[in-house]
This record gives sequence, structure tokens and C-alpha cells, in this order.
Amino acid sequence: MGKSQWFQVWVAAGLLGIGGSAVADTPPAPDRVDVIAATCGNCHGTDGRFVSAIPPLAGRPADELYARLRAFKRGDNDPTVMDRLAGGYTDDELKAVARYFSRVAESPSGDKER
Amino acid sequence: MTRGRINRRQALKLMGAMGAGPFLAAGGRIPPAAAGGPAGRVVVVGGGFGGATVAKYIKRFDPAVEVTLVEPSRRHFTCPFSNLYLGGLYQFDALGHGYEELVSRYGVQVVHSMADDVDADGRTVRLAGGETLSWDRLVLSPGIDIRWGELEGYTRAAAEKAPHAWQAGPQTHLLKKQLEAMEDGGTFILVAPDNPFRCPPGPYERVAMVANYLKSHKPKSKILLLDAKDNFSKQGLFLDGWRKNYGDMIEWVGRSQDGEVVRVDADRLEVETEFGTTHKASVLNVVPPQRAGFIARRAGVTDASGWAPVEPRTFASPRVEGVYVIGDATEAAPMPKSGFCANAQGKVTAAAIVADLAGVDGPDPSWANTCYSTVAPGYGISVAGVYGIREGHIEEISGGVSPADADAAFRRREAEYAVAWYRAITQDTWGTA
Repeated sequence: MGKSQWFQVWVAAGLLGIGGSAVADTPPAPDRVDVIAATCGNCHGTDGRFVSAIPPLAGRPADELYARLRAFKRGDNDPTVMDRLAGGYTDDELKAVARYFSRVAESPSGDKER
Repeated sequence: MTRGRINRRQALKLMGAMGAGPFLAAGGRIPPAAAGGPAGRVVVVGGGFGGATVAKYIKRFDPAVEVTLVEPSRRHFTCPFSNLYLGGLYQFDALGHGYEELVSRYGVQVVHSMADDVDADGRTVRLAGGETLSWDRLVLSPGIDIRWGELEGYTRAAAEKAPHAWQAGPQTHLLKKQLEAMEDGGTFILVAPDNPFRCPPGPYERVAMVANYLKSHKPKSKILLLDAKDNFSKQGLFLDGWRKNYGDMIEWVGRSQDGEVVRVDADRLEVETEFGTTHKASVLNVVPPQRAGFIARRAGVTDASGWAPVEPRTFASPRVEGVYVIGDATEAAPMPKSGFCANAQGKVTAAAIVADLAGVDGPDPSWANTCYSTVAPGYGISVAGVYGIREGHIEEISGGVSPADADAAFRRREAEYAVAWYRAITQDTWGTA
């Protein structure tokens, strides 16, 4: 469940009068993977959805993203900045970030603003 | 907030109508993660890269937190890419970004006013109109102020004749007009300050972009860069790029070659260096000494250096409880004072505040930076880094500059990525690419 969806659950729970112990009151606190993935947004756009000369990340298969990140970390894959950046994360972190973006929809359903 | 969803205000109203909201009347400090209640109130001062990002990402991490952003301008004009405007490669209007998405999509309350004072004990911010805002956590992202008079002769009045153009807006227009009015064969002088200052590669990209303009419009002109330092960001790449693109048009004079300017005479467009050499300019661009923005000093989060020290994990102020400082106003070396870092700090601090309000530990931080500099059309260079905490201090974990021996295709790609980056970060920060 995405963090923004937690808000709707929370509202629904409130409207139904469900107590705090039955349904989470707040979304799970952001973890390190959330923070690293957010940092990617700086060049790839929020949620990795921005389409430009820098490729978007949202919705790409996790194994493909992880393979590219590993290659960047080795200096392969014809990098410009990504070799310098990928070295800042452990393989487990790269794997988790790849999984994170694979689960983000390429564009939010029913929302044409983005 | 996306259409079709119930926004928080509507939800509170509904819940209140159903008798579920006595917390609304409480008014005071809200305990962390109170069942059904607001998860806390955060006020953010400053709507640049840092402030707009922290406001947005708090809402993304936990929409139940109330976030108010205080920013006097309706549109923020960025320093990044203002050099490209001076060089004729980018439109000024494309540097302006508004706050509509923060309001409509994320439910941030945006107040277009100036923050005048902070009461840390009462946990309020006073606005220029006299109104006060209450907060559980306060984030200050005020950017820089110029240290007027620190460089002898460089006053507010002097900046109207010898612009700094280090805060994008009227100063940028003034410098552009002066360049356009300059005679062919004139001398453009840029005065660069000692560290630390906003955008370490900025002065060096600026002379390149000025050279790009002069090369096609006033090719007999010269550029003199008088520097208070002997080393600067991406130095080898800039020196090489200047030579390749502009021949000997740009002359850089470091401190040990008597490059440090100690006095400015804006009326005569003259500067005097440490050892008494006087240089006369046709257009004089002074990048002066700087410090944290006014509200940071007013709030008491700055130290004798003029900048705000921060707790490395969260960017909480060690000096004033409940207050966080992000962006150029902070002492966060080895992270540079860049828009990218301010954005990255905004995200880490958003996570830290959301966790703190929920009564749990925040994540181990990770920040990144990538600064592209455009040396000429189709010729870009960069410095990139990933930062984390080691033994209690912020350290660069990985990073570096573009290879010295990169081919033309590499430089061209970095020039393209610079534009893509600018559009992505402004989308990520304000929603307006």
C-alpha cells in the first residue's frame, strides 16, 4: 500500500469510528529506502516518473533496474554521473530501491495531472 | 490533493460533525500520533528548493501532518540556470516556479508573507502582518543574505551599479542589461568570494555563460575573474572548458596571484586587490560574502560564522529545540550549498520530522548532490556525490567530477542532462517543470 493510500484508510477508519488499535492511525514512518528513492526524484522526477533525456524509473522491472544500478556501480553501462552516485549505496540498498520503483505505477491511475 | 479524494480539512470537518473531533479545540501541543488527530503542525519558512521540498515530502510521508509554508513571493526564481539566461541559452520566465501544486495536490497551506520573528518557547512564528502561526516543529530554509559592507564599498546601493545577481530576480535582469549595453572590447570583471558561499561552481559557470554571450555579440571583449581563493570547484574541467570554447577570453586570477579584491568602488566600476592593484571594469559583477538568511539569525540558530550548525542526522538545530534548518543557510560541509542538496536535505528532514512526530526513530540519512555546469552550448560538466553519516559526521561516501579526458559526446550528454536535471528537480520541488 502506498503512503498516500494510508491517508484514505485513516479517513475511512475515522468515519467508521474504528479505534486506533484496529487500523493504523498513521502511515508507517518513512525508512531509509523511502529516503534514498526520494533522492532519485531529484533527477528522475517525483516517484521516478519524469520523462526526459534522463530516463524515468517508475514501473520498470526490479531485476532490470538492479542490473543497471550494479553495472553503473562497476563503471559499466556507459555512465556519466551514475557510476559516481551508485557507489554510495550497498547492493542491498540498490536492490531495495529497484524494487521500490518497480512497484510505482508509471502514472497514477485516473490522474492526468502528472 | 487529487480530485476525488477527501482532503484533510474536509475529513476533519466531517469527523467533527460526527462528534469525533474534540482535538480540534485543543489548540496547544498535540501528542505524537494522537488517534485520529492531526499528526502535528509544521511551519516551513522559505519556499526555495529546501522549503518547498520539505513541505511536499512531509505531506507525502504523512498527509495527516499539517504543513504551512511561509514565502513572500508568488513565484520563486531559481539561481540554478540563471547563468544560462545570462548566456542566452534559457528564458528568464522558465526560472520561475509557483506553489499551486503544493496547495492543490499535497494540501500544504501557503502563506505569502515574510516571517519576522520566531518565539522558540511559545513555538510560534510572527509574520510581517502581525499574525502568528503555531508549530510543533519549525523548518527554516531561508537561503542566504548578503553581508553588506563586509567587502569594503559593497553596499546595497553599490549592488545597483555592480550587481551580484546571486539571488535570482531584479539583480539578474540588471546584470543582463549591463552586458547588453557593454561596448565590444570592454572588460567584464567577476569578483569571487572565499568559501563558504552559495553554489561553489556558480562564479565559474557564470563567466563561461558571459563568454558565450560575448563571443557572438562582442567578441573583442575580455573577462577577468578575480578570486579570493586559489582553488575552486571543478577547476581543471572549467579551465580546460574555457580554453576549448573561448580561447583566452577568460582570465582567472587566484588569491596567490593577487586575485583577492578588498575594496569595491561601484561608482567608478573599479576594484582594488589585496596588494593594491586597481582594475577597471566595463561591467562589474561582485559575488559578495554571504551568511544565513535573516530569519535563521533572528531565531538564534546561527553561530559566530553566520551559518547554522545542524545535528547531522536530522538537520535539527542544536541551538534551538524544535527548529530544523536546511539548505544554503546551514553548515553542512562537505555537502555544498546547492539547490540539489537543499532538496535532498528537505527529504531527509521531512522523514525525520514525520518519524519524530510519530514518536519513532527516523531513518539513517542519505543525501545526494549533482551539480551540472554548462560551459558552452553542448558542453556540460558535473560534480556528483552521495553523503551519509560516519562516526557522527556528514561524509562523502562516493562521488567525483566528470573525467578530465572525456570526449565531446560525453560533454554533450552532460549538457543535455543539465537541462533534464533542471526540469526534473523543479518538478520534484514545485511540480512545475
